[in-house]
Amino acid sequence: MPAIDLDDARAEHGRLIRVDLRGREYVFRPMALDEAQRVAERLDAAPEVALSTAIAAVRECYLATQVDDGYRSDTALFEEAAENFPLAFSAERGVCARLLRLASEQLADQVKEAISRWRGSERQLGSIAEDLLAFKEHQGGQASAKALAGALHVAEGLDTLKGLYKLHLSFMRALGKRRG
Amino acid sequence: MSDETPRYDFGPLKAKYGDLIVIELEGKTLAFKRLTKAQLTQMKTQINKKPDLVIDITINSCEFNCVLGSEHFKDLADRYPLAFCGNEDTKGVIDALMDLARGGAAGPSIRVE
Repeated sequence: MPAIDLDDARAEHGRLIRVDLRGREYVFRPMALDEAQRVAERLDAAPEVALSTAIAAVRECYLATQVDDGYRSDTALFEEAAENFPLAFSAERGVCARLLRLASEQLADQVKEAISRWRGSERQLGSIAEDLLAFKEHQGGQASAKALAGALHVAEGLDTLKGLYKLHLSFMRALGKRRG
Repeated sequence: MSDETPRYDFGPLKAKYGDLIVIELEGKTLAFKRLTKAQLTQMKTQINKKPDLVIDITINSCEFNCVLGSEHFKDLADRYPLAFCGNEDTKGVIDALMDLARGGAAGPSIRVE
């Protein structure tokens, strides 16, 4: 059960999530984007085991628990809390929801950054096709700036049924041109 | 002689089960132990499958976790079902059990640094 220095942990992970549960503090690192994506997919795919999925995801981010003389990394203390207060870690109103929201905010920032880099670039059919391919890559867990920008562009297209149809049409045309 | 009902000593039950939800209905005391992760998962699965049976499912969960006064449970649940399953306006035992599983009605306090 190694002692944890919160300043070192903050330096390593950028941000820390501190959870006060019945007077005892638990510390978590932020969820990485690819982790968050995998968790979100699992939650969607199997809602009946959402609670177990959420707790498992939070466990991965667990860093330390407050004890008498500081903070210690002791997964037994986390397991005890998860057993006693499982809904505190849920993806609905619990810690997992917060970790996912933080990852989502981080994603939004990265998308904005990527979009600002892409601003002014030509948005032809070929680039839309590239966006879709990038989005596919993004779904696979690779969260590069380009993939994220592609994801946003596709998301904008998916916003309406008409948009989806147009985007699909553009994609098919672009692929036809490439092959032709 | 005092008219007050003698208070039940919850010490041994608390030692065994931890936090309890205690209610008094028609002068009968019932105590409920916390819901486990598996029970919560099972309850959610059942409700998703058969949302029309939500009252029965939540009352069954209460009955399963009743650790004191269980001999009165069926009779009381039959006459006062909302006391156990609750509704939009009134919280029931199941809501208190859910709050307990959340670490309190407001849930955990979370801050990002």
